[in-house]
Amino acid sequence: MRALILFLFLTIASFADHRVDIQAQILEKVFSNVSINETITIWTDDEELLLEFKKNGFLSVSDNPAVATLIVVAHKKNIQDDEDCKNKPIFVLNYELLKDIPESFGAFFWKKGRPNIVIVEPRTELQNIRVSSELDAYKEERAW
Amino acid sequence: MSVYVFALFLLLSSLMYAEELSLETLLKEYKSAEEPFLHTKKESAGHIRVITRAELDKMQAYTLNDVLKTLRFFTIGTRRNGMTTLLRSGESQMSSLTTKVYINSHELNSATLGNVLVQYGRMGLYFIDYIEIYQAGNSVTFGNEPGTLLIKLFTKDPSRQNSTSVQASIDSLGSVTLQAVEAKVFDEYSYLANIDLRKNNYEDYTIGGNELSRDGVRGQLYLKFSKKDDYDIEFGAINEKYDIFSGLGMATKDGYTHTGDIYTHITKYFKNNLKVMLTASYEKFEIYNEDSIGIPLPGMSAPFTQQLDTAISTKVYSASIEKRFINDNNELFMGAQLKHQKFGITDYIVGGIDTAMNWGPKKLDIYMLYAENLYNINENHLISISAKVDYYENSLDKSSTEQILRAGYVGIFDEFTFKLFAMQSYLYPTFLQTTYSPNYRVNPDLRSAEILTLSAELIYVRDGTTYGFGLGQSEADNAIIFENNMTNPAESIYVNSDDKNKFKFFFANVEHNFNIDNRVKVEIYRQFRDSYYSPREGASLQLFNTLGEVDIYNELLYRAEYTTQDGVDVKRGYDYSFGAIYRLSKRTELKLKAENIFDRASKTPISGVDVSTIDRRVLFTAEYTF
Repeated sequence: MRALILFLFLTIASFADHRVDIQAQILEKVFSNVSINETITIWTDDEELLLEFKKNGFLSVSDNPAVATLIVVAHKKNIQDDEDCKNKPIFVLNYELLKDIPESFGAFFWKKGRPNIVIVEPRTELQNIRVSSELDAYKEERAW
Repeated sequence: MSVYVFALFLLLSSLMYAEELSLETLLKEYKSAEEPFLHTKKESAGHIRVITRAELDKMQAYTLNDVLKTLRFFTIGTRRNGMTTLLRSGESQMSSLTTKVYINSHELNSATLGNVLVQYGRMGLYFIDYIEIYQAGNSVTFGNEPGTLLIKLFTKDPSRQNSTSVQASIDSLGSVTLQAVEAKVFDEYSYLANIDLRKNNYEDYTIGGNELSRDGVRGQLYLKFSKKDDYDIEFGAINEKYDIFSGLGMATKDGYTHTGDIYTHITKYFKNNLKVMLTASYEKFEIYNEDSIGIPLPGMSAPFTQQLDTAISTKVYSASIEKRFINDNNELFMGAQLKHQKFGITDYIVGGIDTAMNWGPKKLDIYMLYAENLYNINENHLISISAKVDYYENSLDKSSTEQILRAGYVGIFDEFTFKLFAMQSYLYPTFLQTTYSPNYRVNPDLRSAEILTLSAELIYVRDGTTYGFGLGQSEADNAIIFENNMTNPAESIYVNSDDKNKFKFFFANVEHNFNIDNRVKVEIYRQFRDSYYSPREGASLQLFNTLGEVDIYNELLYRAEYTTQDGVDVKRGYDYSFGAIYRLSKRTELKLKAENIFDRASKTPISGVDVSTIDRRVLFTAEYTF
């Protein structure tokens, strides 16, 4: 089974690794241009991404959301009613979550067949999150 | 000197490093790594070409014909009734073309005309994400009757769209197109909707004092509703009406071609790789033609009429079940399909009189069983063996059992991919050949043609450049050929040829990626056969560039000179097109396209004039995303 998958999906597998690697690089670049009132330590419910962040070593990451100062979420249910995630800056990995989690300040999502980044300025201002001018091109008044 | 070289090196390195870290570049690379075709394309299924959404966008490919005209071994042509078709190298318009077009898992039927591209060539692609095209030696796993050219259109994935987009186009001939696509996800449910309305204008021609027009209108609707990993429900409809252009006679005064198609397709996914599909479709085709000299009529005591109004329809019902068994190094795919086709000749009005005719069989049932086994010798070598048995039974109690046998080898190494396919297949006669035709005799006794195809392809990738080379041959026994009666065209008829119909072919291509935004593709091909009634060789050059917020596309298509079955010489064709897209904002794009700029595209001779299928025109398009 493994060999067959290796053969048939060799290209897909290598692209999948590449995908997570690039996804991590994109988010690292975004978070390196964001500052909050304390040192950024990231927790995410996306295990592949968490591993990639750890591997790259560019960001401080934690397996424990209670320790984290910035939450990166792919599924709302993973932080719902979680006291450890409350009142912390949230960055989402899904377009719909921008609406579902009104306190989320930014998103990495697909729209019109393309990956997009949005930093919602009114939300960053409200939460005292500072975003450098490097990300000016991605700042919006609302999710478009 | 060395200091300057070192400084230059540092500068270049810093630029490269900056490029590497650019967020925009990373987003583009992420998009490439997430291309959905990586999960659907089947290397073992044939010689594949994938046209991604990014390419479709840059090409400004608004219709299927915009893509098909770039295909190797094919030339796009105009039909006498003003519609379009695709001609395989060397073959005439009357040759049987076994093209299959799928939208996701649904095969677009053209039981009525037997050539799906006539009805769908002008289909809008706004709801399509990407296209996979398989040439020669196609897998049996796609189901349905066999084809030698298989076009799979995959619709946009709502989870990647999350948007509503509208697009409007106007061209220098006065054509207008309005399109909209919306795709959204709600928890585990999603939908995709597309509407496409067009007023198509084309260059008019004057023959014998009559102005021939192929202008028309076309509407298209597509809806898809899905529950993740559970089911898809699809609905599609098209309706189009065109001026009849040259028509069926010798001096057309007036007339139109009117076609319509409506279908629904349901796919239900079960656990353990089991899939069930149900389809129902209805299509109609109407021709109204007035001619000042006369339209030749087959099998009539009065061989000509000055007015013909005829309408036909087809109902197709299909059910299929497919399952994959994956064990260790083996994957076995099995499927079964039942297909019922019912033809109707609703009108045959000759000179205003409803005329009864003795047509051929009006019902056809097909029972299909198919299987494919992929065996992985090791990580580098894959062998595929496929078989399909199809039992046909028509309403005249004529039945036949047809078979497809296919063997393939795919080797993937570090830089090389090698493919080898051998396929014994068949080509079943169409409704228009056996049952009904307004302008030639039908032949209910036609038998299937047996086709043997051998093909090989070598792909070599190095330093961002992909080199491809392929060759093969095809031979057909009992080939279905059009026996043209020059003295009385209405007595022309399709027959099974006693001679073997053989041809050989080769193609070569090079694709170089300068970087993620800039790419060039070059391809040449040639066919070798005894006689040629359409271009035997051709070439294409496609250049994709992005400069800041502007996408630029250049395309040059060459098709060789040829002589038609009627002995008319046609010059070689060069079709140069240019497109530019400017992203005004995240929401708005402005697009400009100039097609067939030098008015030298390959032409189709009709009634003494050379007709260009690709008109010289300039097209302006604006797109807005909500």
